[in-house]
Amino acid sequence: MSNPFLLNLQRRDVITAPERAIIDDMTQRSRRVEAKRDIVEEGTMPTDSCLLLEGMAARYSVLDDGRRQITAVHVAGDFVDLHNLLLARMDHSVLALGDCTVAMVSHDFLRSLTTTHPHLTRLLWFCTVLDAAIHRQWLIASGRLSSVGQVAHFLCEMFTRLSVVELTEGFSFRLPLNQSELSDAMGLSVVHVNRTLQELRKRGLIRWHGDQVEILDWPGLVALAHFDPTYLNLESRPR
Amino acid sequence: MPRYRFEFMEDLGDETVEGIELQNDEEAHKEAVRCAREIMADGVMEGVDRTGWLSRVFDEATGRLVATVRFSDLLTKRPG
Repeated sequence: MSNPFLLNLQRRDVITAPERAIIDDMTQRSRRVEAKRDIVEEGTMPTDSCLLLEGMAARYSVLDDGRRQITAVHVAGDFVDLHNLLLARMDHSVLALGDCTVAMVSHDFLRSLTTTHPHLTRLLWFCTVLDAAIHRQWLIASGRLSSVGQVAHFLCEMFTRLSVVELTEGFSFRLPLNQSELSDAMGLSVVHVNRTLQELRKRGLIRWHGDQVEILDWPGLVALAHFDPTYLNLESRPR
Repeated sequence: MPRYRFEFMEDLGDETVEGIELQNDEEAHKEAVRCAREIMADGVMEGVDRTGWLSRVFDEATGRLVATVRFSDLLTKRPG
């Protein structure tokens, strides 16, 4: 199986053979995390950053009244807490949405990389900048789109990000989110998210069965979502 | 957890959302209110008035009516 982190970076820049070797080293030490378990917990001070090799994960915070907001969804090839190298204490948790495999990349290793490999350092920086770009789009979608547009935008983004790491088949992909998790990611009630998915089905845009999503009308979904993938920085260029 | 069915009634027809698992009747009522507010907010963004809608929540196992939410009842506060 291809290294999804390498696929992610290779989509955005040329990676040299010595850099590829370092990336392969990075992913040697891994662990399995069962679905619905935390990968990283709020309040902890991890000494590793977690690189998602398989599965999907969600960053989330819980309000004092128990309500949960999912602030990001990560796919294979994403670091879920790279920012932790500098921020130290986790201000949110990271949940395995389905069964996951994560590589544990030690902060010592990452620190030494920043002094010896400036290009890889910039690419790690790029990863956190990309996270920020995705957060901005989520903010725009939740603030400016209707619920059906917001969910459509999320599906367009997931499809595009998963296609980068070769986890799509035609217009189908695996999305191990239940409706409660989707509602926490959209900031909407479960019932309204359910209605919204019915609406997308009724319009002939998607099919969603179990954890399999199929986009039936990509141009229609893109138009509804006002989706423009520029923020995902998909072009390869020297960085 | 009990499962609930949410029915929405509007001028042009009805729609139903089934199999929503919630802790109890009180949570089901709160969910109906939250959802009603979101539907009305979407309506405002689309320029559609949905204050005439009504939703009813049923316990799926027994068919018992748990709550009725008239959307217009949620807009009783006036600025000031």
